[in-house]
Amino acid sequence: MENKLPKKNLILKGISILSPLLFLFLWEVLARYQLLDTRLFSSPSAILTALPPLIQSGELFWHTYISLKRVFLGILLGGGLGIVLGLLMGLSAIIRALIEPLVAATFPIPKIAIMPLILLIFGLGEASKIATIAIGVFYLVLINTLAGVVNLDKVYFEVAENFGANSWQKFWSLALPGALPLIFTGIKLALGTGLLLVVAAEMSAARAGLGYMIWRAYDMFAIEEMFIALLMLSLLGYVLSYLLDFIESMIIPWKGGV
Amino acid sequence: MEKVQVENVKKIFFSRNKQVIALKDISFTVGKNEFITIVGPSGCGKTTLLRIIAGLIPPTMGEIKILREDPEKPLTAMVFQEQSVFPWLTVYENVEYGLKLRKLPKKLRQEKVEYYLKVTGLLDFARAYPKELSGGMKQRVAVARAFAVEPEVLLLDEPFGALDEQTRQVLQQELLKIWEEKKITSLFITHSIDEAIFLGDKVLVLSARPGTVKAILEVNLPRPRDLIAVRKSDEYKVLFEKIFTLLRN
Ligand SMILES: Nc1ncnc2c1ncn2[C@@H]1O[C@H](COP(=O)(O)OP(=O)(O)O)[C@@H](O)[C@H]1O
Ligand SMILES: [Mg+2]
Repeated sequence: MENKLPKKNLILKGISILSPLLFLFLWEVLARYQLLDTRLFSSPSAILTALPPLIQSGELFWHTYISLKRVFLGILLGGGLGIVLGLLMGLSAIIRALIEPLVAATFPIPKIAIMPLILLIFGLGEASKIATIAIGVFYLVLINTLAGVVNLDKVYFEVAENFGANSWQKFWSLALPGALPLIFTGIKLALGTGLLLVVAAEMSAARAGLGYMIWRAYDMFAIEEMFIALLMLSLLGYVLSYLLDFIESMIIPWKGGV
Repeated sequence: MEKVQVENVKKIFFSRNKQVIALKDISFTVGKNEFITIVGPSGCGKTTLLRIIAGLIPPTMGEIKILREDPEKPLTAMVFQEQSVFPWLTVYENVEYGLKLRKLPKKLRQEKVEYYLKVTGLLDFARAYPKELSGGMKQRVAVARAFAVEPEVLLLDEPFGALDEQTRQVLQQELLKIWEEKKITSLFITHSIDEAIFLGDKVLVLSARPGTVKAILEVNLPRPRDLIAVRKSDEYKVLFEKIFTLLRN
């Protein structure tokens, strides 16, 4: 059994690597033999040829940078507020009673539905895009942070109480570190939502960003460019979630201990 | 004045149109530098009593008086029955926790933490996180954390209750050794008669719920104590039987 397992894992790994390659191969073959409409689905080789000019002109990276910045600022603002409010709600029953109904009432509204309102309030510039992401991400981080504090074993609070901790000390020494694992869960969810919302926000009144690139490609019927933007989004999601896992392991070396 | 005075303490828990009388009129005193052990059947209100003394919950009636001798010291430090070591702090940081809250200068903190890590045998684990430790090691951390603040009164709620017999015996002897250095007035809860006699200057026997004081028995065994010698002594045998009978009825 024991020496069979690595072999099995190797095979599984091989399959995981082969399947996307097989997919690309099939795609290319179907496109070459006109079994796929290349005007809609392009082909891997055509996409690959369209890539160098976009890289050389710096266009691709510029759009990526713009979207990334929006996601980052949105998560920073919305996530930051979510963490602080979540911790306060977890520590204080009064603050929780004050805020929870508002959160419960506004959370179910699809964030895309309020984009026109956000455009009216924040204008057509950068602020409206960041606000869209911030608002969408805020709820995810808030709810997870609150759960992180509430689910902490109450004996930890008694220890702090017994040692005479004041509210400030309980916030920093108890609620924040204790909730960190779930805060990270919230931020990871926020990343996916952030990418979704940035593309949505860049559909209207944007002059840069991967979402803008997709819509421009639609207008100009530049299907390869559209696929490149989609691939970039996929790569971004993958790399960022990998990065978050890494940061998590640095910040929470004790993970799995609560 | 005695170090701790528990006067007519009564505790009723109200939960949904039901009330539970956890403690019924408890009175006793603990002398300065005394180690008192408290035995009683589970659910008789031992934890409740300790939480009241720690000031974590108020009594329904009655009063707790603790003689404060050094205004710099915290009144109590408690070792909890359940696992209470902070998972997000290293062993060192856990032991330092109470000292840091009291804003002691770093140098002094370091001295105290290192001393208590040494006497609890935790020095090699200073940088480890609790998830890397065994149950016995975790309880050592909890004990060191409480000792480190050198409170007026130590409160220990079945600290070794969840450990296996071997580990428990080792920790009992370690605890006595550490305690004999400073002889901080201590209340130690256990459901083990053996542990109560081995550790205590006095054993307080509680009745089943609602808890009342059944008896307070002196343990006339010299310190430092040795587990085997204690178990062989007549004093131990007589006390064991007495407590056993008291708990039975
Ligand atoms: N917060 C509480 N609310 C309601 N009942 C409680 C509470 N804490 C303890 N009790 C009840 O009080 C009694 C004594 O509990 P406890 O002090 O934990 O006993 P022991 O530590 O001796 O096992 C038990 O019946 C328990 O269910
Ligand atoms: Mg108990």
